[in-house]
Amino acid sequence: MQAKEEQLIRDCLSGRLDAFADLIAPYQDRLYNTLYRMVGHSEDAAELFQEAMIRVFRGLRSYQGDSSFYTWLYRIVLNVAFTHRRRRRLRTVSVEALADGGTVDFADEDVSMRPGRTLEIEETRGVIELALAEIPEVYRAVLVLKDIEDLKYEEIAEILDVPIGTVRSRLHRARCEMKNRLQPYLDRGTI
Amino acid sequence: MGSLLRRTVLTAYLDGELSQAQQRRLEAALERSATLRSQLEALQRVVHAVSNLPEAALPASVAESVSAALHAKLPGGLDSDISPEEMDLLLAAYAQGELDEASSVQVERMLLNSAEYRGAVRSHRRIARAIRAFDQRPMPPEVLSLLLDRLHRLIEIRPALARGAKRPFGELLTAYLDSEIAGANRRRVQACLVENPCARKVLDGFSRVRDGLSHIPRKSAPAALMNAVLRDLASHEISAGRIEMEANPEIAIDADWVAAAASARNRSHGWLTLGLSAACVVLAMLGVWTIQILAPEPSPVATSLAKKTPAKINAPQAPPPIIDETPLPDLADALPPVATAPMDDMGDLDELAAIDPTSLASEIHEMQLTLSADDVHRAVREFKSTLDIDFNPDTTVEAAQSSQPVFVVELHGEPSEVSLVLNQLREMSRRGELMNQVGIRKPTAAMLATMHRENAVKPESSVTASPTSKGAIRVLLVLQSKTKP
Repeated sequence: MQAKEEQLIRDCLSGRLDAFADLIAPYQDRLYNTLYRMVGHSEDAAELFQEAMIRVFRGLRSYQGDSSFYTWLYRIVLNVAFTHRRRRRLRTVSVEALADGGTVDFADEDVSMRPGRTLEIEETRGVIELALAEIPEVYRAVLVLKDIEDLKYEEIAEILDVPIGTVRSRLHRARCEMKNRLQPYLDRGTI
Repeated sequence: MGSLLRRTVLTAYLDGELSQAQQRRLEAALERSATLRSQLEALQRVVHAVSNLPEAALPASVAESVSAALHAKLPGGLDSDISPEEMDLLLAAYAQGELDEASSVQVERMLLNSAEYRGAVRSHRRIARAIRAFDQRPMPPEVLSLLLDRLHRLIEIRPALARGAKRPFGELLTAYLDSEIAGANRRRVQACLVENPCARKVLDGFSRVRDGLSHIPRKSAPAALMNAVLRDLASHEISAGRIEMEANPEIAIDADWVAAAASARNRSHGWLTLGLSAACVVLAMLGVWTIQILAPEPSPVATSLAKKTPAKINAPQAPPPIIDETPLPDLADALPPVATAPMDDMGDLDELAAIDPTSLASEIHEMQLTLSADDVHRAVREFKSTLDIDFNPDTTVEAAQSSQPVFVVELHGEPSEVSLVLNQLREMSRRGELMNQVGIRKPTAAMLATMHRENAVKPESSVTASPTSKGAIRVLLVLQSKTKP
């Protein structure tokens, strides 16, 4: 852990909230993005972020520095995400249905991400996001950590508290799931 | 009879494959035809020569490797993800009798269920017979070398077969894509990719999925999010006495405010009762209510509004206000901004001319709650249980007749306690204990204009009997209903 982080943690433990802001600042966007990709909704992500940060603050005293600080942060954030019961259901329209010419109604989705109420199938990003939202949570977690957050297997294993072999296996299955869902788009060359 | 048909019939005759009737007819023909007899004799010589050829043995090392690999694959049952090449190898070994009994039984189970596999086994047997029928000439060294090389590579690039490894090849492929394997495993995958177009296709699919994921837009944390976290922490931790905060302009909590909050931590909450009780009672009557937090020094607009408001007070007259000269903490910034209310709910804006909205923005924020009466009662009970506050309905200050009643109550208390009440409301809403969400928004001048127009704010509303103390703040709650109570 960097000396600066250590000092900030000490400051936090002495009750300085401003130090906590400085401590989290380098990671907050990545943590928020991880939460957003896990729950698929910005309001939920914001709420969970607050919950996670309160846990982080209160847990600082128990942080022993055994793992790097950011993997410790990710672990808390993902635990919060895993225990979160979504207030809004993720879309259940399958990507295959989209490939057949259907559309998705994103009326309940984050309006900042979905300017319209429907998404045309040609919107590759939307299709990928949808596929990501459809796959099981344990697979989604490793995909987010690896392909979006670009963490190493070892770091992912530490965050999820599983062996590296499990990370490898989940990641493989996750990619197979994604590939199967996106196969029509892969075939067309749009992805 | 054509020559091809003739040879076929003669071959079948030699192999004992003809029926008795066919056999009798052929033997009759043989007696009649010298040519046919000659052809039969030639065939007999070929069969004899072929059957006396020595068996071509697979090199011992290769046979051993293949056998070991097959055994490694078989103990847990035949994996469904076995590749076509591996399956072909297995069937070939079975056709040539190179599997042990247990493995053979498993293969036979598969054969029962698959005509394709049965056909493959027949094909391997025919190939084996043909090989045995070759001349005894030795295989050219270069051909043998090439063959052995290909066999070794086939085994080499399939770690699951060659080494009995537990990881399916696909996982190695995934790890290869992520540069998470090295050494022998990496070389094996690379060799497989060179040899196997199927593997290349799978890797390409994974790669495109990964690239797609890495290019979906990243969401940054909203600017106010961390401030909200710090506010939550401040309210929880200070009230729990766990931290002593230092000033931080970024979180808009004044150092004096914090110091006052900390010093007042253990004081009685009773003196907050008067104003809060009025607020809560009014809340019970409203479907929609709005709380505005004002600075201790009434703003010019508030003063102006107050002077124009006729007095009608249900509660006993309270003592004149005690003006606390202590600078107010800028609680306004401590509340997160949310979407503004619809302007068409706010009435005519003509009277805004005399109002400077920017001067208000720095000292007023409102928290709008949409609550049912049950919600309010529940909130009141919650406050009672956690803050030990008594509610006195006599202090209710009610607005004059109005299509959009406005109720104004002043709270005068320690900032931590006032903040605690407000945060508790928000927290209850967040936990889903209230019927509706709590929204917090910036004040709008339009709303104040509405209040102004309707003479809804009364001077008495700023009166409070609460004692003051250093560090206390004055909070004016403006409760506005969008509908008649």
